[in-house]
Amino acid sequence: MPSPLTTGIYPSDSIIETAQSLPLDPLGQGAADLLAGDVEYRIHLIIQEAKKFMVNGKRGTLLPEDVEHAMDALNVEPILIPPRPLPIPQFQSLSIPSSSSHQSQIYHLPDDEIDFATYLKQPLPSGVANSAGVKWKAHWLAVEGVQPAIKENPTPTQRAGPSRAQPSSTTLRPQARTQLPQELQLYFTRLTTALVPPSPTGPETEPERHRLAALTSLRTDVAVSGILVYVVKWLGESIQKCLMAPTGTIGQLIDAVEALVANDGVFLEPYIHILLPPLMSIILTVPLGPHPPSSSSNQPSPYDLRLHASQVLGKIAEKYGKSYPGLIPRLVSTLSKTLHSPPFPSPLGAANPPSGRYEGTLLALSCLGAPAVRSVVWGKAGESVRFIDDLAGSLYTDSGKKKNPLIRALIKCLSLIINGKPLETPTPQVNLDDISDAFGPNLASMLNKKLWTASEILRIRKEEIESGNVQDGISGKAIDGDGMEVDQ
Amino acid sequence: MTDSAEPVAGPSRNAVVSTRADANLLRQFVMEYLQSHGFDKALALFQQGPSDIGDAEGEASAAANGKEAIFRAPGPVPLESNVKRNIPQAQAVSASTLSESITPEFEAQAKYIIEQLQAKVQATNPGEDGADDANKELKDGPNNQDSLLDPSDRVEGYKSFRRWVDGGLDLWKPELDNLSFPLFVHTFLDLIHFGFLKTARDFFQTHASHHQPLHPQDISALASISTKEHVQANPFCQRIITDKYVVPLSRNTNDLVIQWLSGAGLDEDWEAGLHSAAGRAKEAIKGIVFSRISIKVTSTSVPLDEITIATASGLLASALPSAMPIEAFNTATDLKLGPPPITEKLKEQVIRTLQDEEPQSTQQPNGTSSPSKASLSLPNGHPNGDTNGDVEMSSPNQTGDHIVKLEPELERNKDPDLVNPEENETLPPIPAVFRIPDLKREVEAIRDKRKMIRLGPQNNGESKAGSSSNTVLPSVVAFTLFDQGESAASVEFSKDSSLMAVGSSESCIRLWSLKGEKLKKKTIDPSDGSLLEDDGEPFRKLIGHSGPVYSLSFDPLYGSASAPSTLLSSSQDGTVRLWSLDTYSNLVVYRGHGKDPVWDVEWGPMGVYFATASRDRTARLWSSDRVTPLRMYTGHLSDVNCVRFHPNSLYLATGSNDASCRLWDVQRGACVRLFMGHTDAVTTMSISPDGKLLASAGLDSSIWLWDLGSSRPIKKMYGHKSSIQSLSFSADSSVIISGGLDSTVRCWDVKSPGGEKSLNSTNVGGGDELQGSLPMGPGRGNWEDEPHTSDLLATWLTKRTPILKTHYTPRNLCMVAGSFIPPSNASKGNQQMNGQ
Repeated sequence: MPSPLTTGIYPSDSIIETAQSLPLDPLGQGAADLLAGDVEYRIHLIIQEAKKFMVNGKRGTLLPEDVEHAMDALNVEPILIPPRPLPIPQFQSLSIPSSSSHQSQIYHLPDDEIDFATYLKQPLPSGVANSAGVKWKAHWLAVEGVQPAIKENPTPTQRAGPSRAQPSSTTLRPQARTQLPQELQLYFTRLTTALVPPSPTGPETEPERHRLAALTSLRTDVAVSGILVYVVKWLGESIQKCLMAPTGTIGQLIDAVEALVANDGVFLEPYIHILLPPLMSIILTVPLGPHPPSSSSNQPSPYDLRLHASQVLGKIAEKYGKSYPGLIPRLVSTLSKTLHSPPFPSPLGAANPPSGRYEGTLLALSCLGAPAVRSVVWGKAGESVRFIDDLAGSLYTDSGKKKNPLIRALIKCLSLIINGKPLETPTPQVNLDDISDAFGPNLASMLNKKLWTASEILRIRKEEIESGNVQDGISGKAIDGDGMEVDQ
Repeated sequence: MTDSAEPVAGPSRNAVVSTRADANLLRQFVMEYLQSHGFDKALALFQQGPSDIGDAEGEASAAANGKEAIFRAPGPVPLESNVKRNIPQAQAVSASTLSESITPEFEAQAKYIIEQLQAKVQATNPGEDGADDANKELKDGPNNQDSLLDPSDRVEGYKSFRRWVDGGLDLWKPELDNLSFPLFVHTFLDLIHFGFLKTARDFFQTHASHHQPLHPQDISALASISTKEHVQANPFCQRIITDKYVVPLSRNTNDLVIQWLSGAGLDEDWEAGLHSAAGRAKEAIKGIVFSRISIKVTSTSVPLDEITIATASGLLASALPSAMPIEAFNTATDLKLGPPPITEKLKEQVIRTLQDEEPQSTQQPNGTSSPSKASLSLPNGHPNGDTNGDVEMSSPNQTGDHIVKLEPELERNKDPDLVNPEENETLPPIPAVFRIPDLKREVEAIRDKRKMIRLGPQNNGESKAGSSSNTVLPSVVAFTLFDQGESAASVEFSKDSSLMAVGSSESCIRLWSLKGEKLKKKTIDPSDGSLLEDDGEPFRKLIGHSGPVYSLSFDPLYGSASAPSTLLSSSQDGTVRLWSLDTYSNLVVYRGHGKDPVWDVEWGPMGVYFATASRDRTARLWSSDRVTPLRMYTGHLSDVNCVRFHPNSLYLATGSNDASCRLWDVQRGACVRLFMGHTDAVTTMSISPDGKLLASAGLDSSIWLWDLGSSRPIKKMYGHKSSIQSLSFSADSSVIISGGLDSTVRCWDVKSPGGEKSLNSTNVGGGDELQGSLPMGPGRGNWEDEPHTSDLLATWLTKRTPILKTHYTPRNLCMVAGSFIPPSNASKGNQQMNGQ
């Protein structure tokens, strides 16, 4: 007689294992298969019965209690089920060296004995212990068929279901989703996806055109005001997240901020305080962009980014500085504090000094206008310039090179406080050693092509020292410096 | 004798009945024919054939059985059409025509039969010996001739039937598909029976999904079957083996089936004979169709609609007490569906009371706002708080002629079609003298009726386009239970809307006053016998049950006039308890269902009596003063999930896990109506206040509406995405509110014809409704995109509250209740919902 084929899903191996664990004679041929089928049938029966208890308990989830009641109803010896919340069962596997060649695994639930005395002493679950008991609350689900828009009722957008396809990076928070109308949600999604194309784009590609269109929309559309708070938040969070991202992405985000600031149709003032920190982050953070820097030529360098961000910062200061008198001074003081803070150990190791921070400071100051530069960068008769030069010397080990971005930023700053070069005036001859003496060797080496600047800063310094002498008498150092210059 | 017997037998029974007697009859015909035409050799062979094989067993007789059925089958097919496109045995060959019209085709046919028999005689003997060993052991099976069929034939037979159905016209598909379910079950059970377990399991897994939507319970019952012993143990299998599955077919469909089975279709299976696999496959199907299924052919050729198919098919024989067709059974008894009578004295007194109060109510300031607005400002307050009725809904000029107006309101039976019960027929009989609560209740009922908001589409004689915009929808108050998890198993509102009771899975009952009053416990001072009241508590807990409380019912004695004084509860522990709402204590424990959980309990509409539904497949009637049941209503094939009294207390409706609803005569204990159509368990029902309609709903998330008088299904309404937990008719029986586990409350129009949304989208009324509403207005979410019938008036979503109970106040304010599921559990719940 051929053994009956197993038909169910309950494995007969399980029966064999169980039989072996009991003091029984070995199972006969096919007995395990028959028993497995029978076990499956009985499990079906119990579950079918348990389902009735679930249904009449008006639930959609089968609970252990249902199974317990079902077993009770079917006159099966019940299993004592501990009250909820049940611990999440952790199945443990046992590998069994079975008689046949293959190693078989069985899984079991460690069923610890629960001591009633200790169980009862255990603290109640937080949900039960802190609960004030069952409460109820009434609200209008519908008034003459119309669902009132109160907080107890779901909003129309919630009703639309959560299956709205949105790119994960630009998904609105659930809260926003409940409060924004569909159209604005769509606008927001489209806008944010277009502003930051997923991959670097060339100048003439489709995503780039979309990006430009989105920027234009951000710059000109009044409709932005509807989603302003979300856009600002999105920008802030994206920048924060993207500080180590490819510089191209950061640049695109700065573009977006710039466009938003340029929009006259929106009332941005309440959100300035949200926009400024990300901008300052771009300006000051070290490192900015990926590390090591990507070699791709079309990606802006961190210096460019800081410059760009500084320009946007400058625009904000210009636009809102008047209505918020504290805005510029606060920025300046922040920047000055940064400038004078000692260089911290670079997160990227000694080979990459955190010079970007000082570059950024100088660039930002240059964009905040001449007064800021004069007070922070120039200091008293160029003292701070000297300080910066020292800093540049210490930060850039290969100081001999011309490409010292810190000095470049310094020169940019200085160009703000000097007078413009008259066209006809011939370039004055300046002794670079004077510069080197007055401000430091690094600046001097950079200024060898910019003699007008060099002459101007020397002139300003001289004037200041002279006026300083007049005002507060003789200061030794000043006289020394003056004397030296006079001598030469 | 044959001349008279055959025409009477009629077309429908011909197709079904195949008995030994008929086989003999046929043989007689053939022999007569052969004799008269001088086919001597053939005659000899013919006579020899059956005798060789033996009269009872053998494949040949099986073949003869099958063929004979074909031979006599399709009476109603127009002859012309069949002659043209079919082989001749599809003609109606009765005894009378046999002798008269002997056509060449018929001669050929007879020859063919003889050849077949001859071949069979030769084939049987070696076949017996050489049958494959799988079958050999099964020779002792009861149907030996069946076992000769190889399992693949049966599977192939079912498959080819399904292929034929799927490839056929859509027009007939629902009917034929319905036929395929019993074929599926029988094929599966046969395979199990003959020991082809592996084949059976594969067959089941391949084809079960097709039947899952319409027969979820049966499929789940079959899923557990894996051996012959299980078949014997399983009640569903036993039923399907012993009963004949009834399948309704329209005339045309029946013809199609007969043609297909007789091989008269386009395929050549039949010509290949029984020895080809395809021929045997068809033979297997034929065996099932003719011996295990009872096909009921309708008199028309119009294809049956979904509702007819669903209501008239199934294992009806075991469901009905006597072997009568379901239509006959359902129309055998005329029901008295009218409202209960009211004594003249009570009527007079009610009129007097109302007239006395009339001046007072008119003197009241008319400036009160509408109830909805008034309580909207106090959403936590009692929604129907102004029970003094200071809201005058009737227009002022009508207040003058009250006596005229009162009469129609007291004249309860406006519908001449409804028969009123006699005074002594109701439960309990209408007393000759009324009591104060009776008067109060009746007066309040009249007041409620006057102030009731008429719901649903208002057709006040205007044009159709106008009526659709006039749809009045109910106001719904949602009571959300917090911190209860999923453990609330039942919620009940009292009729005067002053109390809410919640039965929990933790076996206690919680009572709240919805009016914000304290629940005061009354005690009698033992020293002087005076009535004492304590300070009261905001809510009361009734403890006594030892299992989840599945149902609650407030006593109806005071109607909506004042708060009820007792509460009934039923529980998993098999008891029903009566609680006093004065002392908040347990008065009586009713045990009668043994250990079986009591799923539902409901007071009769006039108190005193109540009914219970239990897992023991019975519903029982109790009198509250006795601890043993008075009547048992047996007949359901599975758990009785819910009971509802007819408003006049003469009838009791039960809904069961066997996907049917029944209506019982309360006094006689006899089943008077059987409503079949649901595809899964019925969990809730509601009888309309006017006593004419029954709505039932359940796990298949559709609502069926039945006409009690004619016992016909009116329509099927669907739209819910999960099982429905509660249904309520509005007080004017015009709209239904349903609440389900999908956290929605839906409002359905009772009067509209319903049907598919797509069918009605071109309808003027439907179109206007859509145009008239704002595209994004409140109350109009995306639910319009979901499939639902056109009579769905509105859907209101809750945030995360599966609705457990819906309730209409007598003034048509709707109350729903459910327990809020905190978000962490909600995702699980949703998955569960989607899974269903």
